[in-house]
This record gives sequence, C-alpha cells and structure tokens, in this order.
Amino acid sequence: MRWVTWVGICTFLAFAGCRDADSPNRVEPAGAELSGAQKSRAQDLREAREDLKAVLTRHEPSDVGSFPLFTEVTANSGLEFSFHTDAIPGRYFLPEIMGGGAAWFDFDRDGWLDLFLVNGDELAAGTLGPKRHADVLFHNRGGQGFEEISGAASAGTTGYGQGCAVGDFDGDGFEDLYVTGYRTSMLLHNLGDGTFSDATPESGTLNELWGASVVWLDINDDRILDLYVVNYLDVTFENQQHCRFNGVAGYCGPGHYEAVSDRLFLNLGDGKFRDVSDEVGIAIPNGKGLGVTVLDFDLDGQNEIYVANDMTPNFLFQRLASRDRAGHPDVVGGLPRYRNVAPIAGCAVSDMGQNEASMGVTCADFDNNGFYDIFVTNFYAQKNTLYRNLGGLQFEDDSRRSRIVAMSYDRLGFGTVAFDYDRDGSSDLFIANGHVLGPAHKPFEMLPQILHNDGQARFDDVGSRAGDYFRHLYVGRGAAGADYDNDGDLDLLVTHLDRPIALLRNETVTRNHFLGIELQRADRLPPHGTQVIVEAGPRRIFSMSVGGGSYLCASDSRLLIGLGDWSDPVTVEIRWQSGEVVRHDKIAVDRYWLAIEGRPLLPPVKGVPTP
Amino acid sequence: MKIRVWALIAVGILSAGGYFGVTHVVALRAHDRAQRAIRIQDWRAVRSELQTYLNVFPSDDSARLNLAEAFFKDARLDPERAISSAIQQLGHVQRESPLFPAARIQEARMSLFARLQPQRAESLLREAMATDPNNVDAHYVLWKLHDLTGRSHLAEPQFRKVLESTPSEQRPFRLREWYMSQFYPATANPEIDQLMGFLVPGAVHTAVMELRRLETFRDREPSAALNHAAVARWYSLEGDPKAALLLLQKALDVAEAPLQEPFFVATLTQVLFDLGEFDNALKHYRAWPGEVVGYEHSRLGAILADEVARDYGRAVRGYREVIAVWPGQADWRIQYRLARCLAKAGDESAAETMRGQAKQVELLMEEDVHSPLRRMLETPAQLEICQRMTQFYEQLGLVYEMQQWRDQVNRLQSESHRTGRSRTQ
Repeated sequence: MRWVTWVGICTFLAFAGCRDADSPNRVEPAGAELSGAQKSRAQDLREAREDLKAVLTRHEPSDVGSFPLFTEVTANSGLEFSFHTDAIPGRYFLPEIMGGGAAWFDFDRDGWLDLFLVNGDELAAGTLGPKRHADVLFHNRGGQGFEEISGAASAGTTGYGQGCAVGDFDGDGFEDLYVTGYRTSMLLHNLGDGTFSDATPESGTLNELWGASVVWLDINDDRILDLYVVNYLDVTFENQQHCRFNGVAGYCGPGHYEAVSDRLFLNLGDGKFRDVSDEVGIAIPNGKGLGVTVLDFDLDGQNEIYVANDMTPNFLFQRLASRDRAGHPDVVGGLPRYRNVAPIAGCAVSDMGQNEASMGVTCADFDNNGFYDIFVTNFYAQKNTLYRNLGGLQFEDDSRRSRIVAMSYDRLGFGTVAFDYDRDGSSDLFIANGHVLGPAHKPFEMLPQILHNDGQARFDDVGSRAGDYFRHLYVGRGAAGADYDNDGDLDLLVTHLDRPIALLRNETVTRNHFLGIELQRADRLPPHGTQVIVEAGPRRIFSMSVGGGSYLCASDSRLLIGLGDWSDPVTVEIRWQSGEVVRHDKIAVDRYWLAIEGRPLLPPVKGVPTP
Repeated sequence: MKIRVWALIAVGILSAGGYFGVTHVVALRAHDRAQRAIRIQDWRAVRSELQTYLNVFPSDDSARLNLAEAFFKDARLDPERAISSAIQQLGHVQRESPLFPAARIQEARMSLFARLQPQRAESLLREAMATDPNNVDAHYVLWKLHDLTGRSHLAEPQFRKVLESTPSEQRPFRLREWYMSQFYPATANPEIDQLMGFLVPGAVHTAVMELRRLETFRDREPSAALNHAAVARWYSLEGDPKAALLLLQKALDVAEAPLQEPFFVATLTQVLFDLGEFDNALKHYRAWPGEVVGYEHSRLGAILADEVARDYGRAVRGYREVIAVWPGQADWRIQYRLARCLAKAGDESAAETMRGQAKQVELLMEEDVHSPLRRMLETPAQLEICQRMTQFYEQLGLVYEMQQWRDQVNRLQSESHRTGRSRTQ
C-alpha cells in the first residue's frame, strides 16, 4: 500500500513539473538566464576565435598576389668584395661595426649601371695613408656580369670609408663620387676615361669628422651641385668608452659619445667648395646622423632634407620661403636659410615622443596620396617608423596601422630601399638587418626583410618566400637598389659585416607591367623632387625622384613605376622643379623612357633594351 | 531492581563525565604543548597536538589556522599533501567566524606562493576583503600579487592601505617597496621569487626569469585567463605582438571566460592595436567586461581615439585622465602623445607646455637617475635619502609619495633634534 502512495506522489510531481514547464506564463529559472548569458559568451568566444584566426592568417604572407623571388647572383656576376671592418677581438671600437656603402652609377655612360663599393681600412694605422683595403669599382658588362677595374683605385683613395654619393659636381657629364669615412673623406673626380682623381684637397671638401651618408643637391639654385655630409659621432681611440651589456663586453652606442654636426659644402663653381653649414642653419648640435634623403615633401617646388639620427631627434630641413623687402628670398650672403621643422612636422621622434635610434631612411608614396612618406629603420626592440605624409609638411607616425611595428621590434634595421618589386603599383620595402653590440651578443645576425605593401600602406613580411638569401642570417648594413640588367625590375645590392656583398637579382614572376623613366633636368642637375604622375586607366600612380636614401648607399636614380595589370599606353605627367608641368600621352609601357625637361619623351640612347 | 538501574545510570553519567573531563584536560594540555611547539617551530609536534585538541574543540578556528600553518611549514611532509591538508583545515573556518579573513588570506598565500595559482589567490583575497575591507594582510598580498602577474598598475590602492597601517618608523621600508613596484615591477620582489623557486639566492633577476614565472602560473592554473594574458603581455612588451596574439588565441580555447577578464581584454586590444588590426582592437575595447573604468581602459580608449578615430579632442580628454593617475604620471610617452594631440587640436601653447613636462619626466626615467636611487634605498630610513626621495617625487609630480617621504624627513629631523637636546642636557 505504501509503495502505491509513493508512486502516486511521484507521478503527481512529474505531471505538475510538465504542466509547469509547458505553461506559457512560466518564469525562466535563474539557471536558464545563466544559460542565455553563457550562450552569449560562447558566441563572443566563437567570434573572437574566428577574428584572431583571420588576423593571424593576415599576418602570414599567404594572401599576397605574387611572391618576391630574388636570386643571389654575386659570384656568377663576377662580384667579389668584402668590407674590411678591421674588427679586432676585444677592441670594440665603434667604427668597426658600422659597415660600408655602395653606389650604383653609370661612370662611363654606356647605359649600364656600374657598381662602386666603399671599403674600410686599418683603423689604427691612421686615416691619411694609402688604403691597404681599396675601394672597388666594378664595370657592368652589358648586364652580363661585372669586372673589377682599377678606376677608383687609380685615385689612390685613403682612409676608412663609410658612405658614398654620386653627382656630377663639375658638370662635365660624368658622375663623380664623394666618399665619407671615419674622420676622412674623398671627392673622386671622374675623368671620363675610366679613371678618377682625388679632388679632395683642392676642393676643400675634406670632412675630418666621422661621416656617414652623403647626398648631392643644389641648395642655392645656382645650378651646380653642393654637398650635404651627414656626420655621426665624436669617437676616437682616446675617448673610446668600454661597455658591457648583461656582463658581456660590446660596442658602446651613440649614448656614450658626443654628436658631431653635419656639414654643407657649397660648390663655388670653380672646383672649390666652402663649408657653409653654420650660415645656412644646418649645423645643429646633437644630431647623430646616419641617413639622409632629399626630395620635395610638400610639393612646393623646394626640396627638403631629411636626416635620420641615431638616438637623437631626426631633422627635416626646410628651405625658408620668406623674402626680404626687395622680394628676394631670405638669404645670407647669397645663401638660403634652412630651418629644422621636424618637431612641428611630426617626423622628429616617434608617436610617443621617443628619440628613435634611426639608421637608414627611404621614401615613397606608400599610400598613394600624392605625398612622399618617410620610412626609417631603427634599433632592436624599437619599432621601425613609417611617417605618413599628410601634406603641408605634416607627418604622423603610422607605424602601427601599417603593421610596421609588428614586423620590426625584433630587428635592427640599417639599409632600406623602397621599390615596387612586383610592379603592382605600390611601393614595397627591403630592409637589411643586423645588430651592433657585437658577435658575443645574440641576436647579432638577423634575417633581411621584404615587406609587401597591399596598396594602402599596410605591409606583410614576405621575406621567407623571397628566395634562399632571405632564409639566412646576416649582419646587414648597406642596401642599394638598381635595375643593373635593365629588365624593368629593381635588383638589390646588400653589404654585410660578416660576409661578402650580395647581389640579388629580382626574378619575381608577375604579369604586371612597368614604366621606366630617366629624368633629366634642363640644367642637367639631379632631378630630386621632380614628380611623375602616371595615369594607367583609372589609376594615378605618383612617383618622385629622390636624392640619397638608404644607409651609406646610392641607388639607381631612374624611376621604375609598377602599373599593375595595365598594359595599354599610359599618360605621364611630369612636374619639374622649375614649375613646368608636361603631359605625355599614349606612352607605351614595359620599357624605359628618357624624359628631358622641355622635350618629348625619348627612348634611352644606349644600353636599355626596348621590347 | 530500581536501585540497580539508577546506580547503573549514575555510573554511566559519572564515567561519561569523567571521560569528557579527561579528554578536555588532555586536549587543553595538548593545546598548551602545541603552543610551546609553535614557539620552537616543531611543526610535527604542533600538528599532532593540535589534531588531538581539535578532536575535542573542533570549532576553535585559531587552532585550525595554527594547524594549517603547521602542515604548511612542516618540511618533512610531501609538499602537495601538506598544502592540501593545510587548505582542508582552513576550509573548516566558516564565513561567520572572525578568523574567516585570516583563513582566506592564509589560503591565498599558499595558493600563490606554494601552488603558484594567482587567480585562486586573488579570489580568496577578495573574499577576505569583502568581509574585512581594511585587512592589511590581504591588501599586502594583493599588492605583491599584482606585481608578480604584471599588473603593478593596479597596486596603488593596496599600497596606500598597507602604508597607512604601517608604523611611521617602518614606513621608509614600505615606501622603498612601492618605489620598486613603481619603477621595477618585474624584479620588485626577489624574496618572493626565491620563495617560489624562480630565483636562486644571489642570482640576478632577468626578463627570462619573469617569463618563466608567468608561464608557470599559466601552466599551474590553465583555466585562468589572467595568467594567459600575463604571458601574452610579456611578449607584447618585449615587442613580439604576433607571439602574444598566438598565446591569446590559444587561451580562448583553454581559459574560462577569457573575454570576461579585463586584463585579458586589455592585452588583446593592445596587441591587436600593435599589429595594426584597428577594427578588431576597437571591437574588443568596446566589449570591455565589467566596469568601464581604470587606467588600462582610459589609456587604450585615448590611444584608440588618437590613432584610430583621429578624434584629437577626445584623445586629449582621455590622455588627461590617464596622466592624472598612476602610472600615467610617469608615462612620458603618453604625455608626448597628449602634446601631439593638443597640437593637432590647435592648442600649440598647451602642447608646448606638455612637451616640456614630458621631457622632464622622460629625463627622470633615465637609468642614471634611478641607479643611485636604488643604491641609496638599501638603507632607506636616513635623512638625506628621504630628502632625495622627496625631491625625486616632487619633480615627478607624485604628491602622495612626496608627502610620505617628506613626513619621514620631518620625523627624522625631529628625532635628530630630540637626540641632540637630550645629549646637551
């Protein structure tokens, strides 16, 4: 009887439960609410998982249209050169670790770019004796390799070399060289017959400070080239500091030494130069400079000078536009005045106000807004920095949005080249990396990088797929780009501390097209600041001729413009620095053109094949 | 017959009484012996005696705490078993007990320092503080816990509570601890790192050691989103946001409700921002869990307003909030950001002032400034050191700390006067 009663109670409770559950007016128990919240959380988690997966996929180089392919052809090309660092174990004398530069230039005007390589020397032997480790000039044999010639050596170069720049300082039609070095410098006059003479003493361009990068430019519109030499630090054997990092000896950095001011040598036109650094206003204290570039950032027809400084704020020198009562430009004894506007322009320090340890610099219109942006390579555990040009000489540090931050904290960048390796119409980046503390510190050698630009100045590191060279570690320093084989894409020359130079031929497989333009001003000065706008169907692609750039190096001065898949003739608008604006219609693509100011576009005279 | 029954009952009562009397006496004697054993740190004896005592007096929470401590400190026991037994004893202390906070704090200590489970420890400390908001021990352990988990920016309220209850002459030592938390948080607690087995006595703190600690926390308590975020934050601060993001992605699968943990969301937002993934960063920032306040929330909000929305007015307001609280006052990078936004918003004069302030703070963060301070602070209770610290905090604009060090200057000066007077008398 008792069990019958229990069954009855249980049945009642069960039915009561069912009825309650079916009731439309039932109140959700707390557990059900929790379940709702849990469902929402689970949904959030699912979404977050998908988002993060997408982000990580984006940061893998899998969605890039065409991967870069660079093949190292150094040995096959006949190039054999190692920079003599003169690194003596345990000495830790800073110049040993800074590396050397290279310059691409057509010294014999045969239409093929030749290669000049700066060498170090024995530091303890002093700076003025003949070099035991000579600079080297390699002649380009029509894109079929190189042969070493004695041209540069014939000048009897001296001292521990660092950087170099190319410019025809005497207007004889042959490009000359200026070589900076550790407390010395050389002006090498190209005699046009394959030999060079040392014009340093009579020219008055000897720079007895520690010079780094250098650039030729005309500062006073007299149509002859002047010289801007970037100086680094006051380091001598007498004031050398000894540093230990985590207890291990290494090279003391710029924080341990005083800066030495940059120098501006005014070309007087008679083969002589005058140091006008103080008069024009560029001799600013505390600039520990390494890189320099010259171009027209604000498209006002006047070039600015940007200097990358190591652990001190970078400089942006703007030529003052103010005029005196007579309407003449603000000049001092026939010289313009320059003002460092980097702090107010927003390109002196990082977005967080931090002085970054800048080494190399390169410029391009990464976001295709018509203004050239600045990319600076910086120290390890600092980010590299992309200063986006907003126009009106205003910049902002756009390194995060562009993903530069994500790809640069674990590298220490030096030479850098902005170029469109896949001709998709957006400038990509090459960066040579390597540490400076010394071999006992890890990391010392580093992977080089190629950053692909998606067209909106957002970058992906595609180096790991760019060929064998990019899978190894180096102590990279200089980097210079050139289409040395005139095939319509930019190749790369990289200098190292720990191994010979590398020539990387661009063999990227792409169906994209290009336009090559060699700009020549009416006065035959370098066309720095001249803007070229290519209209390829609906696209307008902005380019500009840039002086200097990278680190210690000089690149091909021709413009190589990627057109994407546009294969029809294009319109080319050239905005010369003189103010002249010329449009050239129906210009065939996939070839080089020679643009001489005031004349129609011409095919280049020599060297460059036309399809 | 009746007499026999009553006699039997009486004998029974007397026997029971006797038994209880004897066991009470035995228990009380055991308690006394336990107290003596505690004094000589004979933990085995303490355990034995207190277990005897607690069989008779099971609701004596004080004895429970001592027994737990005896388990914890008895080196002869298997550590995990010892901790489990100790925690079991502490679990007997009910919420109504006045010793409830003490029991929770003790358990928190064991969870943090022995089991290396910071999230468990934090929840126990918060339980203790819910019952006794002014419990100094709870605040002190929470302060250290924040340091050890890479969240020293949260530690200021705990430091202040601890300092307020510290006797004046002991305060320089507390202030020194706070200085280390402020400027060297990862290496501020070498004794604790030694206790936890991360630092060998005499060895130097390294960043790798800090990572090992954070990774161990994560491995010991894998369901705690906080621990995953701390490891990811380490990588983020070391400049590897991609590695940080990978860790956070894994945490989404392992941790419990990671998106409900503000530190996790803050780290995720920062990492996505550093990777240039602004849309995703904004999305997670907007879904901030719990109260939308605090240093991290304000800082990220201001940065996103600045760099993503380009809303410089909002960014200026946000940055001003950030630099008004610790650690914003010492974050010269944020101050430079504020200067830049002020300039963008058209207030060049305020921007210039802020740039000057940022520069001053930046210079005060140089190692050249801090190395001598650290050396001096080895013996903090000295007049000239207190004066130097007062000056340092005054330059930095940290009024509370400056006042505290100044109080120490005054105390030491008046002591010095008293000593001088008594000598002359």
